[in-house]
Formats: sequence, structure tokens, C-alpha cells
Amino acid sequence: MKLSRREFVSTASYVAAASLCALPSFGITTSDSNARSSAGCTLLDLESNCALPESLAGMRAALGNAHLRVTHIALRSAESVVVVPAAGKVRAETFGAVADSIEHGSTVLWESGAAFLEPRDFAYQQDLARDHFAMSMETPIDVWSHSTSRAANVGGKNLGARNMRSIGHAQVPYVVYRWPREAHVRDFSRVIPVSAVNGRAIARWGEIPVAWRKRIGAGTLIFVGSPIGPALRAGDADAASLFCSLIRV
Amino acid sequence: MKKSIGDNMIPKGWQFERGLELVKKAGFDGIELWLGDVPWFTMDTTDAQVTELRRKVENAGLVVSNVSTGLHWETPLSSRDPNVRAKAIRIVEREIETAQLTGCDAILVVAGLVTQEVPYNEVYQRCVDAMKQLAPTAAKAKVKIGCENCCSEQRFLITPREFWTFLNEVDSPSVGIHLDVGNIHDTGFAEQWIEMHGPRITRIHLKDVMKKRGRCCDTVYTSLFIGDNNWPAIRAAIKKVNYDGWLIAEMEARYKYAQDQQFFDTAADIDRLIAGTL
Repeated sequence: MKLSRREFVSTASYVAAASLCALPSFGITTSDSNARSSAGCTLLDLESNCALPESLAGMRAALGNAHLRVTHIALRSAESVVVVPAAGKVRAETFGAVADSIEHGSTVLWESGAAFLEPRDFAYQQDLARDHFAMSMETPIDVWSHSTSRAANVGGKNLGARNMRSIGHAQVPYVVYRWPREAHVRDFSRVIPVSAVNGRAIARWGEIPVAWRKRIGAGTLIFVGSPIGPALRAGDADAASLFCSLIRV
Repeated sequence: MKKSIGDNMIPKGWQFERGLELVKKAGFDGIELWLGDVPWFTMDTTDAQVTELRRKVENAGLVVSNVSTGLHWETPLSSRDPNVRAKAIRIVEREIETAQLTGCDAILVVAGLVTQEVPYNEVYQRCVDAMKQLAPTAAKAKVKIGCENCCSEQRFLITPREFWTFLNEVDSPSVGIHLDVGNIHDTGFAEQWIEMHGPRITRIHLKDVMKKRGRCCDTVYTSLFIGDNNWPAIRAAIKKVNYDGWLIAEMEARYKYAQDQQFFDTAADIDRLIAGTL
């Protein structure tokens, strides 16, 4: 059977990506970020500063054994791919180290979990994102605030039951990705509008950009303002496929 | 088997002691305390005050059958917001603490709320995680967590097999099912739930239900023996699985008049159920 070069490269890439995303999970844990990942992807565990531990769990499961889990990034390190799940109250030093890593050639998928922070803490994260990534994060939008389903959640058991029967059929507000592939991923209740002077939006909630991709030095930042990790944990196949595509590029 | 009724049934405006007197006089053996549903038992009630509640219960010749709460309808364990989930965990912890203080060994939890916003698979995972987190605390306190089957209202764990699978994944002898025979509505049969869950049943809530909805107005629930539950089958299933614990009246359809009479009528109905004279 003859394969064209295009077919071979395409198949090889697919196999590599599949190996990153389809195997049972037993990631390696280390606090030494200088240990190079032999498995293709570094997962930065922010520990208490990870706003959504379920996102970390979802991404670890999606990556399987093809990742190295670290708790900090050394300066001037250049990892191939770094994934940062649900960044919450991240310290300036961590922002700096990650920005430096991108400058030196890393591709970083930064998933923001800042939408659930107190306003003051969110404002500080806004400043850090602007200062270190030149990314603008706007005030989180409560996606379901006008949904009739909210009324059904209020009150006691019986009242809730009566209200639930009158729920309307509000359109599910998916976050729509156009890059690296088309995908519809459930919002995570609050989305952070994001933008930058350079780069481009890769996902929108309605017309509002909520994920962005830009070059920083020799590397690339992919900044996601609506978490994907929880969807991975919940078994969303579309989210899993999107996630694999994001870390493959 | 012993019979109990919720303190949230005590008529509005009555003091706790007056309510206890009625519960005892009506023939009940115990009282179910509802954390957050009644003025004398909230998240702000101190340990000393809870101990005092126990004293009043015992002075009235009753015991506390279990601690329940409806607070998770507004503060669900399955919320996407980690701050809300932390509050929800704290509520369960407080239930466990007050169960110990009041001398009972079971609590009720509404684990999980599926909505248009928060989908089933997310709710499922979060509830398994929450129960696994809380199980050691419950085990240490010698208190069992009973997840209640709110079925259609929660839109979660609607079938007995789902619930069985959920409990298998939690995998703790300290987490079981607080089985409500009325909440199943027209999605199944209470006696089958009882048969399937047997030793995992922590408590049983009693109410009747109109399965053919559309005939009644707003509520599907009604007094015992008026609705569509098969009470002889329910009793047979209880006997089959050797359940010998508390039967707790949760009468969501309340008498509009002579509210104290509902206590006497309900107690008498439960006596007939226990005796099998149906």
C-alpha cells in the first residue's frame, strides 16, 4: 500500500496526539520543573491556587500518562507544551515564570479559573495578566443570569418542583471554538471576555471572545476564559477532542 | 420499626416544646430535626443550644430519629462555584456534628441538583467526589449519610439502578440511601427501590403520591393511603429486606385546617402500615 507523504505525516500526527489523550491515567508527579518531560506535555499544578481542582483532574485524565505534573516552572525553561488548569489566585512570580517560558519557545495553554474569585482578587489577576501576558481580561459574565432555570433553583423542595415544571427551553449558551477545530463546549456558568492587541480570538460566547491565541517571543499563549477541564472530567468527548487539538498545535 | 415526623411539620408560630408535646401525644416515637428549615435549628445554632434541643426532645418522651436539611436546594454540593460547594460541604459537616450531639446516627442529604445550567455528568462526578470526601467524617462520627432520592425534583439518580451505581462508586458503608417512597412519582415503584437497596437504606420517608398527574392541582403528594403507592407491597418489601429502622412522615400536603389533627391521623396510618392491617 502506497502512502503519500501528506497521508503519512497526517497519520503520524494523529497517532502522536492520540497517544497524548487516550491512555489510562498515571501521570508522573514531581516538584522539579527542570526535569524535562519525556512524555510531551507539562501540567502545572497550581495547588491551592488552582480555582477548580476538578479541572486539574479532568486534564490529567485526558492527558493520561503523557504528561509530567509539576508545581512550578523554572525561569528560562522551554517546555514543549505547558498546560495550566483553572488558574485562580496566581502569584506574580508564577505569571513571570510562565511568561518567560513562552518567550523561550513554550506553548502554554492557560485556562483561567479567575471567574469565581472575589472581585478584588480578580482585579489583581487582571493586572497580572495584562502586565505579564499583555492579555486583557474583562469582568466575568454570568451566562445564565437571564435563564428561567434560575427561578427553579430558588426556594424549598416543593416550590422548586412546581417551578421546575414551568422551565422554558432556553438555548444552551455553548462556547464556540473555531480554532484549531470547530467545537461546541458547554460554558462554565461564567465566562471571562479576553482580548489582546495581537493574536486572535479562537472561541466566542455569542459575539464575545473568550479564548485567545497570541505569540509571545518564540512561543505561543493560548488563553482560555471559560474552563474546559470540568467538561473533560464529566466525559465530554467533544471537549476531549478539542483539548487534544489545542495541545497538539 | 419506630415512627417519627419532621419538626418542620409543627404549625407555624408554635414553640418547639408545644410541637413536641403534640408529636408525643399523637403517638410518635421520635422527631426528625430539619437544619435550616425551622427557627430553633439553623446553621447559627450553637452546640449548647443543640444540646438543649435534645434535652427538650427527651423531656417530651421522644428521641431524635435523624437530622435532615433542605439547605442543599439553594446551596448544592454539585454547584459549579467552588465557594458554594465549600458551603454545601460545611452544611453536611454540621449535620453530622448535630446528629452526634442529639444522639442519632443518620442524616439526610439532597446530593446533587441537575439544571439546564449544570448538566448531569458534572453533577454526578461532583456528588461522588463530595460523598467520598465526607464519608470518613461520617464514619468517624458513627453517623450514616443518607442521600435522598428526590428523583424528578433533582432530575438526578432517577432510577434505582442509577442510585445503586452511584453508591457503588462512593463505596462507603457510611453512605447510603434515605429512601422516600413518595418521591419516586410515576418513574417507578417504591417497593422495587426498597428491594434493590435493602441494607443501604438509612431511613425511610413516608408520603403518598398521585402518580397520574394532571388530576390534581399543584402538588402530587398526599396523605398515606389516598394516593397511588402500593402500601401492602411497600410493607412486604420492607419486611423482605429486614428493615427495622425509622419510618418518618414527610407530609408535604398539609392539612389546611385542624393541622394538629394531621399528626394523629398520620401516626395512626403508620401504625396500620407497621402492623400490616391494610
